[in-house]
Amino acid sequence: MNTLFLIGAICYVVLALGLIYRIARGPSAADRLVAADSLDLITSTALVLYALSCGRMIYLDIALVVAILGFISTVFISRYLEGRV
Amino acid sequence: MKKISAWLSTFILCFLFWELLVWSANPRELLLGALVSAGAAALSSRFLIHESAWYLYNPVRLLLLLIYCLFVFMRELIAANNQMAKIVLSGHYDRLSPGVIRVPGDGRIRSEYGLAMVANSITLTPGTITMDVAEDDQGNPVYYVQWIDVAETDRGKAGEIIKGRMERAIARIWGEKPGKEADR
Amino acid sequence: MMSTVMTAIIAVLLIIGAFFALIGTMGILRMPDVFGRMQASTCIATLSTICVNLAGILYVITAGLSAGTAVKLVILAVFVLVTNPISNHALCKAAYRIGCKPAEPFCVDDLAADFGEEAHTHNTADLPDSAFDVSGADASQQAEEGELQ
Repeated sequence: MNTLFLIGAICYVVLALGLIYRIARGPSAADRLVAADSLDLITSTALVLYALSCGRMIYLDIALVVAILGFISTVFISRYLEGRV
Repeated sequence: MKKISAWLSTFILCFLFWELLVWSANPRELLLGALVSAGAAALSSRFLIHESAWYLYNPVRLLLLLIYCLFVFMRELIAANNQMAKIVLSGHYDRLSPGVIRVPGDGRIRSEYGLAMVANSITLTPGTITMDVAEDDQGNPVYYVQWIDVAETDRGKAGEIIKGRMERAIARIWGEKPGKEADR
Repeated sequence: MMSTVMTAIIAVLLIIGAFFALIGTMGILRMPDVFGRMQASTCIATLSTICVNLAGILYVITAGLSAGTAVKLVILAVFVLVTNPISNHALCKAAYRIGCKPAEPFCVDDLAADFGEEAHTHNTADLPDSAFDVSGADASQQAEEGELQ
């Protein structure tokens, strides 16, 4: 069962590498922000899977914090792009 | 009086959330949670509560909300996800016709919770994103929705496709009789 | 017997979650414009997160871990489902207002038709890359003049 979760976590990390390509490449700032927002969610899900795989539940708290920070930073950066901060 | 009841209802929500996060009945944790949520409620109650303070604590309403989230919304979510998977895997992105369309909303939903819930449900189904919520001249809500593949340009039929089933279920939860200014 | 069935269910849920994460990533990588990418990224936030957290909850129940862990997974899924539409809405509106062009022009555009000039803003922080590119023209010019060497 632990190997199952570990394989899942590795799949998510590979997907995160694909998103990093979009962040580096994206033609405009909005493209980069979309990819970064999804990268936060993917990181948080990979952390959940890794926590279940190695049995350390402290990583669940870190996943929650990553999700919260991703939400706040996306909202603030998009307001900044709009010129309203 | 209104401020105190707003503070109290926010305090209860914050304390429940703290208990769910900590998950222990240790008296020290309880005391610390009460202190922290009292401070958080004092700072944030004016952002959360605009109308009646105890609008949220209605067992029938919460039960209907749970049923909506588990069945109605989940079904729409899975259907929309399958459609999005078909679009992405087909690879013909030039055949899509994106557009921003104005769809009329249900006149029964006037409260802020209901409007926010309809808008968030539209945004959460892949393929549609709410861009703005406004009122028309009769006071009914209208939603400006960005749709990845506009299949129907008639506003009413498009609204039925985008949110018909979800909005009827939400009107059962947060809806009020037209013309009756309840709970404000 | 019981644990084998549970393992199979967890594996199926994990595969569904990874499949929809793959769909979202492929959409972000291959879609031609910002708005299509935004729609595809919603797949990651909804069905992928729900399925993986559901698998985690089932695993915690079968393995007999503490109930606080399961509650934390529920909180994580609900939190992502509540906050993701807010950030997506802010992002979509910002991209529309600063004038990001779709790959093909919108077939219907009621926001511009109803609000006119107010639908777009000229006040943006999204400058083109040439505004930041100090290593391009100036440096090569200076290299030709031989001031740097």
